[in-house]
Amino acid sequence: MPRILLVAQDKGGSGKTVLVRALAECLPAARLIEIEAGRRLVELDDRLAFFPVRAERGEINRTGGAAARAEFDGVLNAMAAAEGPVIVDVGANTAGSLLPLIREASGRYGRRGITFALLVVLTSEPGALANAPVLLDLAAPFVTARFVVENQVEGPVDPAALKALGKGVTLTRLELLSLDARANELLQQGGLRFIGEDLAAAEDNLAAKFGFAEAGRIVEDLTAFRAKAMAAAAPAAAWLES
Amino acid sequence: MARAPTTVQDRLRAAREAERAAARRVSAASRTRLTELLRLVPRDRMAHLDDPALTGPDRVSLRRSIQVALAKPRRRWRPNGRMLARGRRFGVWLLRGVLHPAVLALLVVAGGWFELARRATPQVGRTLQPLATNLSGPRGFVMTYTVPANSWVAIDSLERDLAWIRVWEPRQGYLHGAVWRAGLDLAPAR
Repeated sequence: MPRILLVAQDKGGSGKTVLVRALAECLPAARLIEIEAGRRLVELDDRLAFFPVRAERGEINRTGGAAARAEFDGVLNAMAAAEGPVIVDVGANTAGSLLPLIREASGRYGRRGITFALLVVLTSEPGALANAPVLLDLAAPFVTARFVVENQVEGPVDPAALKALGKGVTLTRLELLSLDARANELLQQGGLRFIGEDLAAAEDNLAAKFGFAEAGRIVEDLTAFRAKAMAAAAPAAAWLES
Repeated sequence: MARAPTTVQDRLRAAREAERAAARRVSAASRTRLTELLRLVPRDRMAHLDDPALTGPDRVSLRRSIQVALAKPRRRWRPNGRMLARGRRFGVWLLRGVLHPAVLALLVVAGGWFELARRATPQVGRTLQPLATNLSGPRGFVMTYTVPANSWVAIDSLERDLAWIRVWEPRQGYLHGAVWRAGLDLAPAR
């Protein structure tokens, strides 16, 4: 039975792509759909279908959503063609338009045996805090599971806000890690896949470039980050796997 | 050869193991470097306080090793813990003893006796010349007496020109009389 996990948060910079990468690490068999203005999951190119979204929030609002609907046809078709687990990276300012379209088509997806779940990334940023319950409510009628990852990149989220998300939401946490500056640079360039597959082999090159000690710290920081991101994504990955 | 992780839980476990292994490698490399640095003399170790190969805890260890090596030995004696404890116990025992009701009662009685003795002790003077006086006893006894020169006398009280003295007479007890004050040295050297 195809399962599709939508990873959403309309506020940019909340860490959606990190969570999508962590999900991809947890479940190498999963296909990915990226809906973004520009391609970011380049290291996952062999598993990825990319759908550029050009519509800005202002344009979507001005056209009553019509500007976005036309662009989502490819996405909706790709989801309908799913045969196994699919992770959908829903870019910023997109989920509010996409989720109603999926809800409208949920009966047709259901006839194809496709089930949906939603993962919302939550930070302490006010925009992200306000958007999370909206997305959870939008998805509630058609998803079988809802997940929230509290990304502490901007500090811990107010416990009252987490409690207000209500029951039926699986909550995990991604703690803030202070990465070595060069480790962060490598993370941005190579993503988590590089850490899982190539980092151990690359340690000698890193040592030659940055020195033995710093190379060790880079590897330590990156492997720690990957493990913690995967742990935060694990419940949603387990849903996709089941 | 280890089995490739297939489930989400397997891959999560593998990621955590990779994290621990990386931390172990960094820690081991740091420990090896610390061992090398500890073989240097303390002054040479100072150049490596910020050695990038050392983890935070190992930098602290290196800094402490230098502090210990360069610290001057203390010569001043200080009581150790056991002696301080004994001192404290003795202090408590002493305080309890002093505050005991029997001890307090004894102190009050002793204080009373002390005050009585202080009041009963007369001022003394030394005669500068022979001093004639009429001594009178408690039952009307009167006798003429000359106090020899350079002798000690007990003074009961002083008036303007007179000094009232007392003299012990074995059969009559204390006899009292007045002498010229000028004939007495009231602050004699002992």
